Amino acid sequence: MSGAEDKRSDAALMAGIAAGEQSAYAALVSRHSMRFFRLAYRLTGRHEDAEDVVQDAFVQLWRAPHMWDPTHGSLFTTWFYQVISNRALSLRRQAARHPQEALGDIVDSQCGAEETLNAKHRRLWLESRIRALPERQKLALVLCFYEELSNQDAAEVMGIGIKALQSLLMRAKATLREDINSFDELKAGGQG
Amino acid sequence: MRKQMLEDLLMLHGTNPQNWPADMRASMKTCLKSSPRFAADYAALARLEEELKSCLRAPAVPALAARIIAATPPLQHTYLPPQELGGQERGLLAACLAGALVIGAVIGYFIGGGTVDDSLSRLATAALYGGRALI
Repeated sequence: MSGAEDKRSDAALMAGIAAGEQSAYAALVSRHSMRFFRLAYRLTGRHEDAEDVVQDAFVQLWRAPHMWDPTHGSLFTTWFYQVISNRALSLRRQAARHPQEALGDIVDSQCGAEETLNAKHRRLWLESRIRALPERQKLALVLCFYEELSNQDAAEVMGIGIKALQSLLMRAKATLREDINSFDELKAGGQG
Repeated sequence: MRKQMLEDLLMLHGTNPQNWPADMRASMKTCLKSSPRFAADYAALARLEEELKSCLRAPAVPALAARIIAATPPLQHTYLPPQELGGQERGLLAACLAGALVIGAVIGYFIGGGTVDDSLSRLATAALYGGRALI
């Protein structure tokens, strides 16, 4: 299969996939796999889990492309965000039931030499606070802040109204802002 | 009340004025200059956004797409019911069936000593015309 240069729209590629066209599938995977991997990674916190989630979702898409119904009005990407989010959060919930497997990646995703120990410590701590957010708040934050979806699209992915999404987003940010303040106060106390 | 609303909007839409609601943008910019509290909120949120940007960075995954494609099994081609076949395929299928029937009839004619049952004759004729003669 090849087709990374395919210029067709997502909807046209999905029509090709529905007709069993492998090049359309290859083009769609090439176009979107990293985007959805990033989402899955941010929700599961594990590289391997994120890869599995994305791979399984695409394979399922190949087998049953009619699961996406363009007549319902949602874009392919909006619908697939929903698919990936559901799978990633489901996997996360399963992992949480088996704590020995739920440690997450302790690997450092950006341990560049330029990052000071202090900044690294702070970042890792903040990442742990993001992961500790309630599931819906975390998803709202990831979709709106990291994936840069509009509130409308994020609300559609989550299957909620815009007001509810905004409420989740504000609570997530407020919690993290308080967490950062607490971190700074603790640090100041430790140094004083 | 209005100030609280502006603070909520700031929290919701972030620190980039481009993302602020168009009808509130001017008010928010004015408030940013005139209200120390609002400015402090803005600075705190800007810091939070900056720190969040450095978090949850997904690692690079070389050849992820190629691996997914390689792991995807080929489709299992299954029987398509006649109504899902195109006109050309339907014609081809009818011709094959008719051909098989005609060959069978001819063989049967010679094996049976040159006598052909009337109904078999009609069946072969029908098959020859793609089933239309039966209707």
